[in-house]
Amino acid sequence: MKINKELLKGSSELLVLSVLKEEPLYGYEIAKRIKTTSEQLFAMGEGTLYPILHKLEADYKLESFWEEIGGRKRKYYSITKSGLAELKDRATEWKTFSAAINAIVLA
Amino acid sequence: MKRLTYQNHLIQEELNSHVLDLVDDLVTQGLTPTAAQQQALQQFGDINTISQAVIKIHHPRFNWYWSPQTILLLLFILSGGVIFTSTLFITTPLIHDVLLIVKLWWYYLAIIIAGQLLNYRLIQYFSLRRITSFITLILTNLVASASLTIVLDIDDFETNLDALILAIVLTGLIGYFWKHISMRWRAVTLYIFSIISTLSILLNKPLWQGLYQARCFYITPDNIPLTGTLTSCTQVTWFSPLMLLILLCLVGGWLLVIYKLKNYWLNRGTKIWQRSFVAMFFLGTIIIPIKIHDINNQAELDIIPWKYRIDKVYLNILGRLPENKDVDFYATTRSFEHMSKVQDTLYKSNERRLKINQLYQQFLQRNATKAEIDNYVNNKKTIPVIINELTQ
Repeated sequence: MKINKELLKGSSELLVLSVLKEEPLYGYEIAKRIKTTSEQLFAMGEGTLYPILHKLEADYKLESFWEEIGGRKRKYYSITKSGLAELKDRATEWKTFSAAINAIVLA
Repeated sequence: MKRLTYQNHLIQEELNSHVLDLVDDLVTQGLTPTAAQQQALQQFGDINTISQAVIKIHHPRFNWYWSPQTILLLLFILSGGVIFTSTLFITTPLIHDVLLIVKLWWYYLAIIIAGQLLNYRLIQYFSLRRITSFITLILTNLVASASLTIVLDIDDFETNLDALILAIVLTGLIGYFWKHISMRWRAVTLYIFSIISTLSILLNKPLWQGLYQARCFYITPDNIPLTGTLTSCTQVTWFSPLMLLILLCLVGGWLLVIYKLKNYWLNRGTKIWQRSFVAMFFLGTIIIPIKIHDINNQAELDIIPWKYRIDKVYLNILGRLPENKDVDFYATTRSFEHMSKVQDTLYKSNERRLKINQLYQQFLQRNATKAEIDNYVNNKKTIPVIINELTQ
């Protein structure tokens, strides 16, 4: 099943912050993690992913570091304290929102 | 070819790394490397468009060459040009003195800014994710500070001991709270450490003088005896075992820094950065030590309190105020610290003999004889006294 892109748009930052909650990941891993965790339902394009990552970094929700593994350098992102607070707020907002939608749609 | 800034270069590198990961994944799925590359590029989309979108996030209003940092840096360099040109043409003593101080501070700020720019790049290269990276960068700063002390010819390692104490305290504190401190604050701590220790060395002012007894660790290659209240000081010559140990640490430290910088250069540099790095390195090795040594020896800041005494000595012995070139000479040679020698030189100078003769012409309408001039030179009488005697 394909998901409407507009639906995904509003929750992209929430998805990125959520996958980074546990451990630092680099861009490719983030995209892959979102895809596999959502069972191939969400496929965030690179054109969407990187601006989001850099915006979150500029807002101090994420911080980054470079690491060289197997001769390849990758930029890892990890969530900051401010990012965790943001994630908490967004997750609460999402739960309220989805519960309200469910209440109407599934009624 | 499109010119890339360092920031933009990193963005490109990040995106390229993504494409390479995608290619690897496709190859493991059974595609040939060429087919995998084609499909990866197709799947990824236009790297330039994506990187432009990302660049806009970092510089939403300015493009790179008009970023606020670049403007400030250009203004700083421009101000240096104005200051240095002004010192050549301004003859009013008071303004000249002020300009000397401003010039010296400009040098200090230039050294600090250069240090921070280097720190900025090293932080991006090493990252501050692990405590070992933080320690590496602190050590790099310490090695640079100690080298600065030697190049500046400050002959005083006290400030380095202070920097070392500060480094240990900071590393301990940061290490203890490591997981609770964001990378931004780790970087801020490093910048603050670097600025404090560099300023302390440039001004030759120990940081914690009020906290513990004055210690000293002077290097006196010219065997200048230590004076003042610091009676328990240890005099160290360049070839003492302790000094050799310090030099050994510095050589080892620099080898490590050069090794790290080489890796940095090979892995992070754009073509322009690589070329400018080589050019800056060679120019820097020649110009910086000469220039910095010069700044220290000029002791421009030190001479200001002595200016009044120099003025008085000149008025008494030659009947005129010193010219700016005279003051610069005393600053360069530090001979203002040995005023009696300066006085002796001025008493025996040809200018003083001419001045005495001029006074004879002015007040007695005749030339002074050699014996009369010798008499005033040997008796070391001041110009006001000579005028007084001639007018009586």
